[in-house]
Amino acid sequence: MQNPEHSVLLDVQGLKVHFKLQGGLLGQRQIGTVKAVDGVSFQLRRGETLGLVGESGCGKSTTGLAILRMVEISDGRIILDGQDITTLSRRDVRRVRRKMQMVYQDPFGSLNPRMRVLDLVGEPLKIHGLIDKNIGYRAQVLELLHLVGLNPNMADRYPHEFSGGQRQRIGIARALAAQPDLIICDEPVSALDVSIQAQIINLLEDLQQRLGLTYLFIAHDLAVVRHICDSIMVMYLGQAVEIAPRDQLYDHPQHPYTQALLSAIPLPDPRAEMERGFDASLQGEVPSPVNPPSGCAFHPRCKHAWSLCSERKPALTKTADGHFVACHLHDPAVLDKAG
Amino acid sequence: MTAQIGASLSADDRAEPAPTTPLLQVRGLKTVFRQGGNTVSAVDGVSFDVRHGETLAIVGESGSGKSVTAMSILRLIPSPPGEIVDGKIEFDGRDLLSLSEEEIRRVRGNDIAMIFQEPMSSLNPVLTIGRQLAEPIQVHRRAAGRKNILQRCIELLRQVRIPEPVTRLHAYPHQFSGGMRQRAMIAMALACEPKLIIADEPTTALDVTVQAQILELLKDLTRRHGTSMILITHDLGVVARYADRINVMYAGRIVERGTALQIFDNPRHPYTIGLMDSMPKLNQPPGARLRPIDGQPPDLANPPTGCRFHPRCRFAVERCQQEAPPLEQLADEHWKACWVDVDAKP
Repeated sequence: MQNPEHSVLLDVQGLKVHFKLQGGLLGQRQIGTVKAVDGVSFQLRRGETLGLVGESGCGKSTTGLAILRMVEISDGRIILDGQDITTLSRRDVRRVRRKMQMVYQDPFGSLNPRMRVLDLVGEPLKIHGLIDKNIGYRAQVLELLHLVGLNPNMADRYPHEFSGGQRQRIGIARALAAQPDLIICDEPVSALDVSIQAQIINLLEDLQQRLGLTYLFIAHDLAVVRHICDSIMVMYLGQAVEIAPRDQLYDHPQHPYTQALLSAIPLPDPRAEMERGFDASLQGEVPSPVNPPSGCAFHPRCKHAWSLCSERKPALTKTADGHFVACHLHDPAVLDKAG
Repeated sequence: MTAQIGASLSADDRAEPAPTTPLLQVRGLKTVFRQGGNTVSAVDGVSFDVRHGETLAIVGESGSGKSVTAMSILRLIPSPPGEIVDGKIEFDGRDLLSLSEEEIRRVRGNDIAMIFQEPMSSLNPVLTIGRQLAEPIQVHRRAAGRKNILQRCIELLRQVRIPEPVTRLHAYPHQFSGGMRQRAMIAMALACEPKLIIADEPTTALDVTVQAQILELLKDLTRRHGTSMILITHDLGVVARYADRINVMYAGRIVERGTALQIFDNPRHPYTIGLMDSMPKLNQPPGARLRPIDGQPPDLANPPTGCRFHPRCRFAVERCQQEAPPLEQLADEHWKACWVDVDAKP
């Protein structure tokens, strides 16, 4: 057994989430399938942060929901802390869900406007029976508010009295109330202004340090992801195209999609921008997941694509320690044959 | 222009040398919104120029007044509750605030065009792209005759690089992807060859790879036609890549102005410095702790006295609470509104 600090908390194996596309007059005929997540595997170690990045429709949010068992899983396994939770009953899922909490993108839409902050944050304590008689419900909530940097005397106010950044703190306090091991953050800062965004990022980092939390960090902002994550999985149309430790991914991106994504981000530095110029290689937009391209889903937009790419789907191949890429350019078997 | 980045056009592709009077002069603009006894001063005495052929960025966070400034220029402030209470806006020799409703309508879309953030809500869902593209051309009588108008529409779609323009004329907005819709919006903005384009967060709703394509297209087209642009955004990366000059706004006022290089290399207002420190940067070593700006943006129904940034400013002195600092020139092109001489270098 390894050091428990670095034991695997979350193990996702071959996860598939397929949505049926209904059509016909009464919407009862199945006219297709959307493969929102199509065979994704990764491991997340305790105390670490894994970033899930990609453009809209890549399946990053659906992956998060599937782990929480909030959408139906079509295939694959999800193992949390050694326990297979893929086939648990609804009731049992609710019990495991205490260990994994979610922080949402929209701090305005995710809080019930009719509830006081006290009850918004305290609700998970009640649901999961976590009220400590010695401390008391109210005192427990005030402690949580203090932990996320909110003034405890705001406990009796309603969500509309708070700014975006403060509401996101409330959302985080609510997630922490359940005393989770894993927090799934789905675009937690993308709705916030830059100056407030930094406050929340720092808070998430502090909480991880103090409470030993593990984060699955879903985001599209690659600069934020680099700042907060230990390793990153890049997704494209439901599949993982590259998984790597942070510095590997940013310093030596291997998948053409990762490379294009990184070069598309304008840097807040006019000098660097002048040197770099514009990489016009990535044309077009993400195709519809209803009818994804054959072979490698990225091949119609890829400047390196050749005949094999439209015929055969590349497998995730290890190219360095902890670095996996799904691209025929990096598959030794293919490269050998090509000579 | 020092900050023109990666200029791809040769000298003779460019428009004729720029005249010296700026295309747009905004002076002391004040726009308020009145609601239930409160007066929100959204834009509070803003002055700036837009020169011929330049891209001027207005950067700020939500509530900074950047969009209200743009809407004021086009007199699109809904009234009530909004009202332009003071200031002067001179565009191409004409005083926009004294024009009649009919006259300002002729300016909109014709001389000044606007591109919005959400293309889906600015396009009419029940009209074909062709119909919507033809409308400004007909209204402003830029071409006559069905055939000529059709020709012009196809040419516009080709300019914004929409493939198969002839077929696409008959498509409806919902048949377009987000990026294509924004291309169609740009085609509409270009329809009457405006002198000024106001782009309000034109790529915020788009994926990053599409964002890059749209911004490159805008840069390319404005350069080729010598069109001036006001680029409104919260994204400092976009500003660094595409702006010649920058106005940084906070709580309804311009706090710093300069060329892109001045603002990024040598920010001098504490708010600008705070913004730079708040952002994780891809071209710097990871792991350094971010330095956020403390507190929240002010409630503009009840703004702070003196400098509106002083409650959040780590450099504030007593004077900042009492007197609002004016914009003062630091160097050629570089201006800031701050009583304290701040050195950005840590």
